[in-house]
Amino acid sequence: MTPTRTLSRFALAMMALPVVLGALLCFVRPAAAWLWIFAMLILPASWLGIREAVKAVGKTTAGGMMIPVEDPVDARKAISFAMVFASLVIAIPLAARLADALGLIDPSLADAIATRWTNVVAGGYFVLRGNRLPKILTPLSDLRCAPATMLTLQRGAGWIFILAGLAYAVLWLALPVRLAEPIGAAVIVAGILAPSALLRAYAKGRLGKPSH
Amino acid sequence: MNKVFKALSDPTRRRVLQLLRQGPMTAGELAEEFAVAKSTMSAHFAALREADLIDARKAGATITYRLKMSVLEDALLGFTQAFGLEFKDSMPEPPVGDLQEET
Repeated sequence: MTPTRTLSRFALAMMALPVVLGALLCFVRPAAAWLWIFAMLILPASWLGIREAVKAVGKTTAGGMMIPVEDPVDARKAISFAMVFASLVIAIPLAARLADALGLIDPSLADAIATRWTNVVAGGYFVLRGNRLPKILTPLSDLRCAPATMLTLQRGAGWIFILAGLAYAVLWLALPVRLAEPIGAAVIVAGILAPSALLRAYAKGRLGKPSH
Repeated sequence: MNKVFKALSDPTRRRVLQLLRQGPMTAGELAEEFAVAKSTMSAHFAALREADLIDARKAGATITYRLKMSVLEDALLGFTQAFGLEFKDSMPEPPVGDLQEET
């Protein structure tokens, strides 16, 4: 079995986790059944939607520019990888709520797990995606550009994602929730917008000189 | 990751990556920088491609290589360059023959 197929199957298995937890919560806490059903269905629905969109368009965006997906295997890996993390982000609070409902842990601990650890995992996703960002942006090298500048931009975009993800995870571990929420949101929004702004500035010819 | 470590362990392959930092280069241009047989260079390119550190584009008889490194791989390259790390277990040489002569 190829690594891509293994990752794809692992992602499908992970997507089943929120479904199972949500179904159990529907029995244990039926008052909020609509919430559990939403949590159960959001990922499979997103997965199908993204899969169909990638098939139909065959393109993805980065920095606001349309970039052809050169390797469909890479696209499938990226989707599976994102689904594994999204499953974790949904499954962790569901598991905490279920454990609370069954009296296995304190409500305060369930709250802490549901908020803090979910966001720490989300920060981890940013770190890992940031690491691979220069590889994803490689097709930009085909644009009319100064290649060395382009490589610097690709690496810069990756580092911004990594640092934003690390800062986000550390903030959620270290700060009180009331502070971690706004500051973390600001950090992650800046982390998303900064590479995009860099690439847009480059595309408008503000950075580097065309080599040909 | 093992493929990446082994690809970065060779000084010639590290030099290829350094050259590609300046921009995409053809197989012929890269081969001119080294006093080794083209078949040997072909094996080095194959090792780098297998580790997903470079991307190859074929246009007619010309193959153009460009850098395709993650942030961690880039940092590892800098680290191995700085400390000259080499791995003892040698990577089995990939099959030769994917380098085409430039016209």
